[in-house]
Amino acid sequence: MSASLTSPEKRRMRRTSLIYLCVTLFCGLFSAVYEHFSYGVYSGYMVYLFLFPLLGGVLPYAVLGLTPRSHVPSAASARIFNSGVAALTVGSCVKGILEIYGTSSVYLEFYWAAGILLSVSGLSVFLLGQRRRRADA
Amino acid sequence: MKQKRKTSLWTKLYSLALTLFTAFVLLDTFIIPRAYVVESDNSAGSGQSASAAVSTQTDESNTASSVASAVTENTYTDENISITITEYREYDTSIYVADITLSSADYLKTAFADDTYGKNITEKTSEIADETGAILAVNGDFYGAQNSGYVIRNGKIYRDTESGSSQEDLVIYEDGSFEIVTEGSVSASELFKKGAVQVLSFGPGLVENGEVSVTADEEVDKAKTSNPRTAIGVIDGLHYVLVVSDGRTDESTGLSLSQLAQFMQSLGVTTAYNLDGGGSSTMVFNGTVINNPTTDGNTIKERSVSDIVCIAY
Repeated sequence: MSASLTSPEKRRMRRTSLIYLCVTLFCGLFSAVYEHFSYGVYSGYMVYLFLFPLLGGVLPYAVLGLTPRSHVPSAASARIFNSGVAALTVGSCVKGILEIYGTSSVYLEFYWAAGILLSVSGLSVFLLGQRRRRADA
Repeated sequence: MKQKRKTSLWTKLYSLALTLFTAFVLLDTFIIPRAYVVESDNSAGSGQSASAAVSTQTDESNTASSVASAVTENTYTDENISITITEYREYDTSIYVADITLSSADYLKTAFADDTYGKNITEKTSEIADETGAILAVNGDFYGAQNSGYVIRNGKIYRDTESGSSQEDLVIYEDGSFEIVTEGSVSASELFKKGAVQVLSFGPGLVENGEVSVTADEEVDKAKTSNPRTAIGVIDGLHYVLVVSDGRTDESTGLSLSQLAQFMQSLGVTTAYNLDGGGSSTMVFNGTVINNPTTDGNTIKERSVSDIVCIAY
């Protein structure tokens, strides 16, 4: 095993990926139970709720934690990115609940706006940091 | 250590903000009542407020008490209104049909919960019917659950915001005739100018020109599932049917939209329209709930709704 894979940063990435895996499983279970009691009324936002933590958390952090040569994001960029994924996940859940009930809310836009803004910002901070590191090297 | 504390603080504050915002969104959507100011002044009596428009019904209902009527458990008859309630058993479901003949379209009305147009202002169908003096009532389109979709009630425009170009609405004109329109093709103001006195925005249309307009293939999502349903149809002239089916119980499976449309067609309607269903589906006749409305799963209990369609003076 490469030495870099055992570094605390890499372990932190893998731990974060595991936490996201738990969130993904919880979301999948939650949407399955919610849909079960919805009398056949489906919402794509509820059915595919698990995709946000899966694609926004499990996969990227697993890649970062399991690839030896990759850089890891700073605590700040990870924090911002995670906040975005959280907003998107909660927003999808709320949208699903509202759609199944047959209603909507103007405030849902805030989840998407905050989620995209924070995710892209977190990712940008990470990529800029990587670029700077390369330039320094 | 300092870094860890900072992270923890951000996480706590962000989580708190997200939780509070979500709580606000859910409360705003489902709980906090809010009376709306009517957008335009298009009404028969210009300048009426929303509650004033509904109050007129109450005044009229007082004068109607003098009309001599014959009432049984399943029928109501007077010189202007004739209603017969019949229970059918189709598709493993109990279906309640109110066959209505009127002398004037004025007796086919709608009413809001608490006499107020707004969001999260709800009452049980039986309560609204009682306050309106309705002889017969079914739940309406639950307009209060939506932020858009046309709302014209008793000759007054309350909402002219399109909810989608393909959204099918039921238009009831002054002469009592029905038409199903899509919101993309006409505005509420234009419908009002054409003489619309009621516009209900739920749908879809079930029967048009005597033909079923919902096919099994066209059904999507909730439409395919068997559920309690509410529908309104016109047979001819001032001859209408209000239909409510049970569902979600051991005794009654409920109807899909396709089954409901076929059942409406079998009653001989030329135009039929689907209203809010599920736990909302309720029929009240002479103060008695006729069907078995389900709320919170399969508990037999009336759900509070925004509005009703009713037969009243």
